[in-house]
Amino acid sequence: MPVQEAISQLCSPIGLFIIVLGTTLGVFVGAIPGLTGTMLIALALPLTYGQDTGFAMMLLISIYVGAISGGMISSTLLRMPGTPASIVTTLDGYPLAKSGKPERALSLGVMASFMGGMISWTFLVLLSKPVAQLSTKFGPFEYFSLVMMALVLIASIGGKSLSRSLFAGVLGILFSMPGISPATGQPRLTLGFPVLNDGFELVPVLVGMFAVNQILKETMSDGTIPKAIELGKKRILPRWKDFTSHLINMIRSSVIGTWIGILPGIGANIGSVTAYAVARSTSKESEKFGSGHEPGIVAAEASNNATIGGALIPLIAMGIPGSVVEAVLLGALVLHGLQPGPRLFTDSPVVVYTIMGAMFLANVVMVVVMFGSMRFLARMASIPRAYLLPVILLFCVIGSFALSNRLFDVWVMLGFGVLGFLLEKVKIPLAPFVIGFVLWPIAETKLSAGLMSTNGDWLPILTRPISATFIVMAVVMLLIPPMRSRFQRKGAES
Amino acid sequence: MKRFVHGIVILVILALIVWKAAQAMALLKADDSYPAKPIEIVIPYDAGGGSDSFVRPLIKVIADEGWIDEPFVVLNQPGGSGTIGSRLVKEARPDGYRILCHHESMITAELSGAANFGPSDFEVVAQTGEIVLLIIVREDAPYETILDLLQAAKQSPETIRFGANIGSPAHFTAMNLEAAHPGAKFNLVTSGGGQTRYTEIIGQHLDAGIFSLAEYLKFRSPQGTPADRNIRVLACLSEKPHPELNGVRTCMAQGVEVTSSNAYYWWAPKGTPLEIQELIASTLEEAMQHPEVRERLAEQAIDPTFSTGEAVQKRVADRVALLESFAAEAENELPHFPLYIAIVALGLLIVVGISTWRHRGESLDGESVDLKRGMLCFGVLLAYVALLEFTPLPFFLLSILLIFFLGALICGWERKRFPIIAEIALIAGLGTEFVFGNFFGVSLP
Repeated sequence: MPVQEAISQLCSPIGLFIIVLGTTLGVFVGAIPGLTGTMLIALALPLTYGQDTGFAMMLLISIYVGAISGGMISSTLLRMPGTPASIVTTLDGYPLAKSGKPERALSLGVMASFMGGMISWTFLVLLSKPVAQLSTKFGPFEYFSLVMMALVLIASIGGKSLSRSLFAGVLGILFSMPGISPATGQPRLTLGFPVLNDGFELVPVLVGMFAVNQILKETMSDGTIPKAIELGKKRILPRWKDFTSHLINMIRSSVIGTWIGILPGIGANIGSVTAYAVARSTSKESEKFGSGHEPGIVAAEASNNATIGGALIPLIAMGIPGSVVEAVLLGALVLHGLQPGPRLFTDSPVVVYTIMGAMFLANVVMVVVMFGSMRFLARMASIPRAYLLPVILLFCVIGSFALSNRLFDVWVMLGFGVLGFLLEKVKIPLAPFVIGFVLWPIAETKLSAGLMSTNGDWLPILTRPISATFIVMAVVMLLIPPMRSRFQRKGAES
Repeated sequence: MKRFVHGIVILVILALIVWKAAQAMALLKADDSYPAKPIEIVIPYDAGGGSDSFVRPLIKVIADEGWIDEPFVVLNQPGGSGTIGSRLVKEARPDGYRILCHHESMITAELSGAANFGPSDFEVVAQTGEIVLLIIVREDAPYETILDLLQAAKQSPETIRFGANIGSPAHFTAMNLEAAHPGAKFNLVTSGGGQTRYTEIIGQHLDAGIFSLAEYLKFRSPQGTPADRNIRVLACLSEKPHPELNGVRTCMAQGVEVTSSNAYYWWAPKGTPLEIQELIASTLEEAMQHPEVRERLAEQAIDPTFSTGEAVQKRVADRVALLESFAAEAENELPHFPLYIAIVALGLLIVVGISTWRHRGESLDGESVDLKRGMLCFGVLLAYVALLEFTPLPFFLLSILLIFFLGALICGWERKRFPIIAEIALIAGLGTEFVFGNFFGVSLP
């Protein structure tokens, strides 16, 4: 029985040790602003080569769970998101901590994270197999429409201005184009540099846009070290009443997080933004959000952890990464000679169940680690910048270099660091950029294959039912924000 | 407590310095007969891919048996359909320390225009291992033989969707098939890796495709699977029927004069001394005989053939001559994606510009930032990477300086922090090299 085999591997002493190690590392890295789980996973990847596939995936998944959860600590105590996934947690977590209740903010956060993880885990277990079977029905056009819908989705909910978000997305697409054309195998837009034949690699682009850019900004801040809010002696563990009073919010936010996670390419930060927005708009006290309102923390933390399980579904079932971290996990599976997709369930069921089990265990361990080392983590989060930032920069260089042993990638990282800085300076959001960058190659490959098989006919995008559904949803999402602002303006006038 | 921590940190730093010094001493002692240092085997694909899993057992056996004084080490240089890694070796010094292992994409990349160099820019050292290629359809497809498929492609040209990446060896094989049955014309569809090809054949988005034997053995479902969920071999492209495929006839046996296979070749930079080439070839030949390698190759369904010297040169020349005769006319009916996207981007930029102009009253940025310090830090980082790239200064030394200067800059040259920053710089600079070199197997720049 594959299930029993997976369980015995998970519960072996080495298995448990790996999960505890991965989760703890993840929580610590997540808690330190500027270090992200993506980076740790990318750096841990070479370590797993030659190890058992199951153990390798256990390590990576538990880092992932730990890092997304750990991010809340610095969000709450420093107002600096430890990972991009916990940006929304700063909105209510920090004000609540500042008003003298840091223990309460963290305690609710951990509880919500756990629930988010568990609810999305349930979806992962229930949905992976049906989705895998469904995905053989997806031809090139369906994949293309799916990707287009995801692109529009992120642009329409990502930022304040639709045109800026769309511009960012299209710019990301443009930067994904240099290199070998996925359809014709010809190099394009390489400007005569052979080294650009491979285009811009994902990791240097991400490390540049997020880590280098962030560090640059921090070196420019006025130099005073932000002082973390100190934890008092108050109770950290949540009470049963906290659980029951936030239950509906937790379930709703987890479902939203899972669903957003399933959409290809969209990570935990969008999941939490959406869940937060929904929690605010359905609340009777929506004006309290942003000033240390408890449901705000719960919505943000439940949903960002829920995206993990959601994003694992298309990864396992279709081989499409559900987020940036998933793209690295996909690389890890391929490194171990496994190709995610419909065949994974029949070819290597043990690995599938190990991934699922690892997510479950990592969530449990995460709770223990978070509650157990909360005070220590709180101090870690405020290490002086002068000690921390240079080391992170060194790790950025190594991380960009190590994936394919090329200094060119380090230059790319520096370039995108500057680009990210400039874009944010003119208020163009970075998330749509990255999503466009990640998803376009998939979209173009699929569209090219589709067009080649129909001899250049575009119509199947609209005539094939599944594809048409995605396109209609995309158009609707594109039209909602302008319509709503028009209605609101009318409402204000009358 | 604090003193205790500092004590440990200083001990660790001392240990690392000793380690570094020992390493430097060992380098000084080394003599200059080939090989005096590890030989890098460049694989132009990802770790874990087909080429990678082929090479790794070989170099493991070579290291275990100690046939050659220094080990072979793998350097994955993925990207650009293998052209990035190949170029790295093409431009390497011909001293035998950087060798490429690459299959026939080396030939097709040049012929299809993806690269402006090809086999003639290298010394081909040896050929190891042969990949058997198959033509696959869905189990319930109406074709029984390869002739049925070609006949269908002749009766209604451009309708049979045949999965082959443009410019890949599979593409050339497809053109070879068309040429062998005049009038037949496939609709060639680009289709990624084996997994994608498999799903698209099952989902009827492709009618046929070329798979390696290993892919077929992996994807084939057990007997009794419904016919619309399984695949079937139409023909085998090797010269002789393969024992793993009981009863499947070759193309030749079915009257279509086409054979095709893929093989791994070992390429050295042009001008590599002959004795070095021979040493590498003989080491590889021995490795190919090793039972452990045989076992791993059998698992991957790769035939353990070997050739070197004139035999391999003739083989490459023959393949080039054959493939050249179908040189891919890059049929490009696809829209010019970069142009369209650029136009959309420009349009959106104008919209963004207009909306910024209309809201220009609202100030962009209110927070005070120290732009100068940020630029200084970035300058230090740029200088660091430039020094790594253009000077032979060692990684650990530059990294120690980088961390120290950045730390000092960020804390505003506050003297009392210098000891700690220096400690961090030493431990990070030496420690990363130690950890990555020894545990992760990554050699830093």
